Amino acid sequence: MSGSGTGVNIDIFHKLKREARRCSPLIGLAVFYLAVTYLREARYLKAYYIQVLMFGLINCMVTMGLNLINGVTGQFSIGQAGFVAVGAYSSAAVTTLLFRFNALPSIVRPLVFLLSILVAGIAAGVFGYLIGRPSLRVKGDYLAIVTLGFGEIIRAIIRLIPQVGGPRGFSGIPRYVNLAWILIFFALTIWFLRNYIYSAYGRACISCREDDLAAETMGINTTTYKVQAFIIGAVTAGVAGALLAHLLGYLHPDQFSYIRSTDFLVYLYAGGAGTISGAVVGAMALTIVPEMLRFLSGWRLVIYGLVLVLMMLYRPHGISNGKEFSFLVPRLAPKKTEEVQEG
Amino acid sequence: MTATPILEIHNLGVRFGGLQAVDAFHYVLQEGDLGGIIGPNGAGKTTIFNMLTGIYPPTTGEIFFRGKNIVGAPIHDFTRYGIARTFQNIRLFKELSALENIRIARHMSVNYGLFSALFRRPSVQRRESELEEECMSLLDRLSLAQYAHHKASSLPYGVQRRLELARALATSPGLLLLDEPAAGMNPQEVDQLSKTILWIRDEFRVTILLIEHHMQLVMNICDHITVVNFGKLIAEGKPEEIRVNAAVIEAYLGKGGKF
Amino acid sequence: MEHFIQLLIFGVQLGVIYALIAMGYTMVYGIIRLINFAHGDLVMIGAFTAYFVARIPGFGFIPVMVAAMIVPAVISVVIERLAYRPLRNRPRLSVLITAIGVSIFLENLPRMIPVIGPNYRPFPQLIAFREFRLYGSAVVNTIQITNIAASLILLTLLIGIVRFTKTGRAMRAVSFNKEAAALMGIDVNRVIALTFFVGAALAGAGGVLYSLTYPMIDVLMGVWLGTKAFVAAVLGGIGSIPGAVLGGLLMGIVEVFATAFNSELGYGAGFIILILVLLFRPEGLMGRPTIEKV
Repeated sequence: MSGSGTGVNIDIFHKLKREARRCSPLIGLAVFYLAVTYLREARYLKAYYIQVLMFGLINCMVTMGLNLINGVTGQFSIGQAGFVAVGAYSSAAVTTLLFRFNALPSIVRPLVFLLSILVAGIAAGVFGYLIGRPSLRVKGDYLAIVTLGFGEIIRAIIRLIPQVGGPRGFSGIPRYVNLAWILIFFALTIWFLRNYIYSAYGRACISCREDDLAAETMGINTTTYKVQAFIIGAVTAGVAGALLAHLLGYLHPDQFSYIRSTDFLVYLYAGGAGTISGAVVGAMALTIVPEMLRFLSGWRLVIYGLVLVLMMLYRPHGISNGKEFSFLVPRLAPKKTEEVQEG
Repeated sequence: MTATPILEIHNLGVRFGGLQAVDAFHYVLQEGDLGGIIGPNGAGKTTIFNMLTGIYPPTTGEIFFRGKNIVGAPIHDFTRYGIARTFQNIRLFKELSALENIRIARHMSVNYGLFSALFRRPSVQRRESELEEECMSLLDRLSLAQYAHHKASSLPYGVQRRLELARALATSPGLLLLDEPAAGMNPQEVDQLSKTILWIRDEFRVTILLIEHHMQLVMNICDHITVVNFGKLIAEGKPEEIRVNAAVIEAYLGKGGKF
Repeated sequence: MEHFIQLLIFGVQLGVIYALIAMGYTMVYGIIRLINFAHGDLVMIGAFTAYFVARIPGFGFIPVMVAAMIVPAVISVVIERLAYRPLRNRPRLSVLITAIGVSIFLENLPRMIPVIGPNYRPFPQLIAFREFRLYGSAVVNTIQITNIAASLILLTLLIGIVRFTKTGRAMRAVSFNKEAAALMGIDVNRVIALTFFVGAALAGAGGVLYSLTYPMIDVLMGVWLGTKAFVAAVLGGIGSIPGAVLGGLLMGIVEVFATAFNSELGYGAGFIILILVLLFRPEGLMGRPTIEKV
């Protein structure tokens, strides 16, 4: 408004600051990737640690999806591994059965791989709808059982399909995924989920969790949002499943039992349900810490169980204590009045 | 004079198993009126409200809102048509801040699509900023601005009631249903509440229908009063008529009672 | 027909075991609305108790059974006291996650105890095996008879206690309304502890009977057995005692028939029925629908 030179400079400075703030998580991720790669090249890090890190990131993605369903929308799904299975198997089917991945020229491979991820996302989303839609006729604990049942049925169906190996398991999947791929999808997952949760859509989901009757009387179609949460949560798990399939190179239906689903539940509630930070911290910590405690062999699971009980007794809001990392909360556009004052 | 009433109820009835909770209830409310429904505990007042907001589907009868029969619509559509309510036992989103409560209630005014939201397009940011201002200004009008960032469950009881009222108003209703707004209030607070209700009617140009036990409040502010007992309408009229109605006195105080 | 009868016998034999285990789920749920994830592991504890007690010379089926009921029952009461009771007024999810934690603990601790360990162990033959011809080629054996008879006795006993004793009345009162029951002078904590005790005792018995039929036991046996029994409880209507019996029988019979049809189908079949029932009758076959009060 003032049009003075310094005013413009300050304006640009503020804009730059804002942009830097916006990009800082991305820069952080890039630095992290370069650092890990360097440490690996310099042989400070064993391949095994990177493997654990990749599993951790995949678990984070699945848990973030579950967080949307359970933590944000307040539903109680314990069939998350079923969605991971759908994503893993359908993407593996694309790269293994539809295309012969390793025979493809290397330029086409990323495209086929992305296609397989797309298929995984869609397939898991469809299952999310198929499960979410009828399941919402039941509430609370019953919903939990229905999702558990559906998860187990998905597993039973996989066992019946000989093309994907049935009960013997699905082998020969190209091991195409590396840390870079996983980090990209991890970042995208966080970004999309953050945008969703901190929008009117996410707020509608939160209102379903807080009091779904009151939400209805605010004009919110709670069924729509519950189903939406199921679909998005399932897509996230499906994409993570696709990454998992191409990281492991081998799938077996028993990897996706309801015991696996309870793992994701535990990650979420140990980390702190309802926030993205909680999901990430919980999944990361509970993937990495038990691996570090490998020297304890079987005892680590005993401790794991014990810690979970103690957590619930003494720190019920999880490790993150219900707080969100501030860079995960989108800022509102600056108000015009403020800009006038600055200018 | 003969404008369509904002609310017209015809022969409304509902049965729960063997209990006829509401029976053959008729009611008309004109735009801008302040109506009151009174009756002893268990008379079926809240049940009527629950039917008016789509929570219980009625067994018989019709509800016309601005001339349109809305029976059978899902709950959220009742709100979309323009009926908002508060609850007898306050149903705020307890774990959320006052501001967040209002923001959720403004949900219907959000105009961006799912994909815009997922990519957080500039339109989303703009709408969210506007929304924040709208909500703050509403909180301000109801003198709740100072509580904007307080968790709803941590607020004093009276403030929670006011917040619930603000939340109902945030849906921009044409008809506001208040379920026992004076419950648990002391005489001064009730006095203040009477003023607030009248102020809201004029300020927000809403038609108000309230259910109340508190005789004084109803007598003071309502244009006309309907009395129900055992799910049936037993009297209807202006406050001064109700005050002397024998059937009403009997319902409240038994035979031979006096107000 | 002979084949049908034979399968039915297998189904009922499995079904009564599910019913025994389902009872614990349903009673605990009925009284504190908790899905006790650790319940399945009590089945395993029962089986292992039996495994060790049976080595003591002179201990036959009945003393083994009694021991296998008491040990998990005591452990269950301790768990309730230490892990669940402090959380009783917290969100139900916290208790549920705690139950998962307890279950992880119970599955992994015995693996680390040298005398138990992670391997399968052959379960002792507590009942002399004999077969009786029933109809055509359909046969019934002593183990099946023991299973069905023991389950029926225990279930009848339980229903008798809940229906006709003062303790049973207290249980029903607490499950109906904890606060009101407390006002009537009922010691709610004691009743809840008792419920855990009884439920776990039945689970222990179920563990022994199951191990008689499939005589290889390991520390994870309770996981699947528990899940299926839980599904049975939900199927019948969780919180309902006759429902648990019906659900258990149905689950056992369906599983046996589906497995006979296709070995991969056996596992999924129970879940498919469960989902169909829940979608069309969410409260389960014998459960009472809950009405939300506004």
